[in-house]
Amino acid sequence: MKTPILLLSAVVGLAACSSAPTRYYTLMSPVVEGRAAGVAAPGFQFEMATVRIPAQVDQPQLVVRQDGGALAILETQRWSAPLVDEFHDALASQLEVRLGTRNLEGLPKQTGRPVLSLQTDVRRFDSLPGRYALIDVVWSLRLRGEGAQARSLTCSSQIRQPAGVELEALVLAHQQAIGQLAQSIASTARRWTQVPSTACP
Amino acid sequence: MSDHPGSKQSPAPGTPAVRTRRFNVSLVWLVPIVAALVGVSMMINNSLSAGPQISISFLTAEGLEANKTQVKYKNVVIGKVTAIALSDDRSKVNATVELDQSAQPFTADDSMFWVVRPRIGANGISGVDTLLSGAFIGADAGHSDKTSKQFVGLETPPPVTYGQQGKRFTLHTDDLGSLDIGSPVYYRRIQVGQVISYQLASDGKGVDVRVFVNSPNDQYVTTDSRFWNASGVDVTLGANGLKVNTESLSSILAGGIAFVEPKYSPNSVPAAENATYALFDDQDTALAPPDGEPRYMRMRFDQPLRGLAINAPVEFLGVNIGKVVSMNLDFDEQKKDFWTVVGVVIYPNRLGKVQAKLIKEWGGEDEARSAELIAGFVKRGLRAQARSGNLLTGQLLISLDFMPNAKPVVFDQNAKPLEIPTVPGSLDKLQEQVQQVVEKISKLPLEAIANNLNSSLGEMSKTLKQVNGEVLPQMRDTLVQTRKTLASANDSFSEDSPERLRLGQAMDEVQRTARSVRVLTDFLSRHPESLIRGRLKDNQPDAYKSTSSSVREPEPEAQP
Amino acid sequence: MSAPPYARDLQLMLCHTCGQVCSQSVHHCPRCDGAVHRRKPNSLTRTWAFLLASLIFYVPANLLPVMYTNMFGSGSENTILSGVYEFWSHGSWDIALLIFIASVVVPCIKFFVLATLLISCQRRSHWAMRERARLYRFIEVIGYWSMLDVIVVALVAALVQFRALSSIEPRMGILFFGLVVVLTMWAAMSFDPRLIWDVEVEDV
Repeated sequence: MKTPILLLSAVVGLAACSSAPTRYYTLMSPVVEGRAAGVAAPGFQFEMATVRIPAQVDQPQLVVRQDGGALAILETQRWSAPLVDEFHDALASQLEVRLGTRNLEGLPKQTGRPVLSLQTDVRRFDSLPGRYALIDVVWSLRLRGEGAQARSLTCSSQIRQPAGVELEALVLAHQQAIGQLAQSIASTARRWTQVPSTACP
Repeated sequence: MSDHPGSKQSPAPGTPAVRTRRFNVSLVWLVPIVAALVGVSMMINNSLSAGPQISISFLTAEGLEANKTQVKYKNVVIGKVTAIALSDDRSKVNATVELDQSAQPFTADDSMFWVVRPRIGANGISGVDTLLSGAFIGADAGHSDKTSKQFVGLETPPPVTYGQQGKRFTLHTDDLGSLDIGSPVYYRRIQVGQVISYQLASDGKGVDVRVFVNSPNDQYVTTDSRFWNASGVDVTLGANGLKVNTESLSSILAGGIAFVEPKYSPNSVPAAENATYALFDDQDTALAPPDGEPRYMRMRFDQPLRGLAINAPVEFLGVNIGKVVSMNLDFDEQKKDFWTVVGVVIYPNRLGKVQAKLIKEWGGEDEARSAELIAGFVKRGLRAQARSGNLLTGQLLISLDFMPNAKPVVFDQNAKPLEIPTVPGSLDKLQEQVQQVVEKISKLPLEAIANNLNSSLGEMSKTLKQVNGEVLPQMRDTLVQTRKTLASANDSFSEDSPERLRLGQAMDEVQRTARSVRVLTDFLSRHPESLIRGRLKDNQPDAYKSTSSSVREPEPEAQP
Repeated sequence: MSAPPYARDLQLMLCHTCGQVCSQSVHHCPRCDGAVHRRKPNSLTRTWAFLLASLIFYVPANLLPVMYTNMFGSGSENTILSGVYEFWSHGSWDIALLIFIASVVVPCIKFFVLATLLISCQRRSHWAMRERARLYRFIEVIGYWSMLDVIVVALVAALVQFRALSSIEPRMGILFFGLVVVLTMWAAMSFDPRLIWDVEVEDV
């Protein structure tokens, strides 16, 4: 009689100790087919330098704003990688598409061609369910290499994308916002590398 | 008198309360009787143990206090000052001292008393401990049979107390120099005694110094010991050079006398008490064998004798046999020239055995014979010369030497004093030496040296041409290469180098590890129950509705 | 209103210790077993004896030194009076006054008062009886305060023992002084003050 009860209680205990299932999200938008051509290669090499994000969202769990200054940290909804890397990879892939050249971070570069490096500092990464997803970024371009004297340009962008209440909608809105940021950076970079006196967008 | 409780007979048995009055009274009266006995016995003891009372007179009562200052002999307290009062004529201070019973010998007539205060004397500083403990009176028992009750205190401690054994001697010297009472007397650099007193000699032509030498060292004072003044530092700068000599540090400060017996004294017996000695000025003078009769001689030099001083030594074949005693100028009318006349004193005794031999050969010691002797020497070439004794100071000495090529001179044997012919001094020597140097130089093979030098110079110019033509361009190429190498090294440290990449990757991994640890601890701090219950499902977050003042919609900002 | 009768008339005595009223025939108190007397036994004799002994000892107590002070090697002995003078001249007039009162004034008062009491009792005089009783109570109270000087010397000698720097040692004088105080205390204890009033009753 004792053993079945023991077995039953063990099974019940183990079941009770199980964790709830976790969902994972990513900021990288899926590769769009048929978009390879159409962007001319620029006369420089591109590398993506460091990305900084604010400390509140630097968690594996999704962080959404609630009313009145509250933040909800959702334990079972997580980023698939640390948000820094998510943002960095998403922005890099978007820029690769728009600039027409690959991100050569960490790889040996060709001598003779100038190198454009981008440093990004995300000041805000707000997710308001039912309202919008917002990123506020200060980014800095630096061009160095043979033939050109090293110069830099620092600008900032704030992009707001409306979103629904569900988390998927929020994440999607963030992806779109990153895409818009990439567009803005790419166009500025192209112009600035040709005409040094270009101003920020 | 009062009630007698004990005289009542008690009816109760077993309580013998009968106490007679007499018994009570006598028992309690024991107390005052015992007290009286104790008091009387103390008084008797006091009066019996009182020692002799004496009075000592001092010039001043400085450091003395009535009922406090003690009298000590060899640091044992033998009495106490009980009263201090001025004498009637106010010229002295009388201290009444009560001595212990055991201090009976101190009442002898020739006992000495003095006040021990801190003093700086020839022996050093004494009595320093009296600074703290207060001055006391030192005493020295006398040997006389008469006792006395009045004493005159000494103002300074006596140098030698009666208890010390030793002998006293008298030394006679010209002047006291730096000696003083208490100046040490040394024997082989060990202090064996001290000066105890001094006074002018009875004829006023010297000073008699009395010294005391302790036993058992007084046995080393023999009848032919020599005493000399070893005060201070003996510095002599003579033709022999610089000599510094001192006996001991305290003799520099306090003066001192040293004595020793000469090495080969045949019959030395310990001297008797109060023997008299002469005090010499320094050790050499003291130990020198007696010089004997001096002979006075004269020399004439026709060169300036700058550097010749009185007491400069006179040497004969290197042996010091005398000294210069006078120097005067003389004018020769015929040649219209100035001469220097030097008077010297010679001690033939210093020649030692040689003199004995010479005397034997010439048959006598008197003046005529010795004049003959010197005439013979002069014929053989004995001349006097002023030589440089010390190049540093330029001091000269007179040297009597046999010159092989001396010009013959007329020598007057009967002149008094004898006049020794002279030859010019050391300047000649210098000329000779210069001549020798010049000869040496002329022997050098100068032509050969010059030829060698010429060929060497030609070779050197060829080498230089080669260097310019070949070596320098190569060097320039090397420099260019070096620059290129440096540039490539620079590149390898640039951002693209694999080393930096690997480093970056390693740092990334570390960062990720740290991040996940942080995340875990954050999660556990938020949900510690998750360790047991696991993660709970989140609710769907509420839609963001409010636009309260705590949150402001971020307005699109202007670009920087 | 008549005065209460004398205990003697009623053949009664009072126990010294517990105050129990006992009959005159007993020698020990039935309650506390203490010795019971009508008057202190041999009171006048004992008092005279102790008083004379303390007077005799008072002489060496004042003449002999009480303390030997050694400061930096210079030592000096002090009698009571010279100590008082030293304290006064060094400015501690309060200590000087205290020691003077405790060591000189109080013993002298005790001698004088005890002598007066003894002589007046023996001569059966009626003079100032109430005042005499007050005097007796007074010297009983101040008696032990003379020991202050002994305690001062003992404490000072025990505390100031710095060997080479300074040290204080007691001397014979303080012993005699202590004996003086003890003997005068015994003298005061032996005296029965009721003897003052015995003169009122003629037949004692």
